[in-house]
Amino acid sequence: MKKEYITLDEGIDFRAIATIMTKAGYKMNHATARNQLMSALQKLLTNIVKQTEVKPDRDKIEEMMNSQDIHNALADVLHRAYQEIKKD
Amino acid sequence: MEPMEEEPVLEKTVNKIDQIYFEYVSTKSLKTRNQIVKQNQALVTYIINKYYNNKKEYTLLKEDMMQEGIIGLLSAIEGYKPELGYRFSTYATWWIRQAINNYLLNVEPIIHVPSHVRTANNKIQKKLREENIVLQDYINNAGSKEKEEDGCSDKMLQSITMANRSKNVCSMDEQIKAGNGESSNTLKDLLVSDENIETRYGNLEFLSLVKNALKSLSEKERYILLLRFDVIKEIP
Repeated sequence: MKKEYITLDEGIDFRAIATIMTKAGYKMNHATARNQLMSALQKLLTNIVKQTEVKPDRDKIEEMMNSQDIHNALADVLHRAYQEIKKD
Repeated sequence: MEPMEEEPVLEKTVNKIDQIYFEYVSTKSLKTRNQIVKQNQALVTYIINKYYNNKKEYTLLKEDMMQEGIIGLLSAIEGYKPELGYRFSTYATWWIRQAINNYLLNVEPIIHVPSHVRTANNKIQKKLREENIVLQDYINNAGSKEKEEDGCSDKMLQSITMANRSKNVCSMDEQIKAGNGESSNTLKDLLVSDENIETRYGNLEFLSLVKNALKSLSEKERYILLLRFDVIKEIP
């Protein structure tokens, strides 16, 4: 099975993420960081789909996780969403 | 032997024309009416040329004004009483001008102003010009008795103010006038917009979905996601 990972032009690599997270008290290596990210992304997309009152389909979610367009869209929206959460 | 006195040619023609009106009054025949309209079509053209040739905008409406003038002419034919002795053209002129004026007043402004407000506005504007004051000063300073004398209640003055404001309104669908004539672009086409309203609404909805989904993640997952997507550089 062909494995696909999140690819971004910008952003921090997994080793740097693992270092930052370890410093903050969440001890992990780069592989854990990657696994955690994949899991977080899956949860995020599933929650988004659930809110649209469509039954989340596992295959569809995986397809979305590997879609570069979805990643680009999320990169744009996550910043604004995080700012709004901080305001709340 | 004395020479026979001949009726002047002009008088003959006039009598012949006048006969038509008597004929129409008695018969109400459509054919006669059409004949009268044909005979007086030149009067409508004359009135349009005389009174409405000054403004550039009117040249575009000339054909419509002609039609409205003919409608006025038809009203004049219906109301004309030849037995009173007045010429038909004298009577018809007022009807034609009234029909064209009414049409222009209805067609000109983008926001319709009722005719009674227009009449009151014209009256008050005339007074303001004579006294050399502006409308706002009149509204503030004139007493209720003076306003009553002028036939302007407070409500009417409010309508007049609104009517004056509506003069400067322009439609977004108005065609832009280019140097050589009218272009096919409208004012709306000039507005720059990166996204339409549907896209904007869609983006807002998506943002709200992402926000709720982000809240549902654990703190650790959220930070990893935000770090990877370059939203934050370090853990706050």
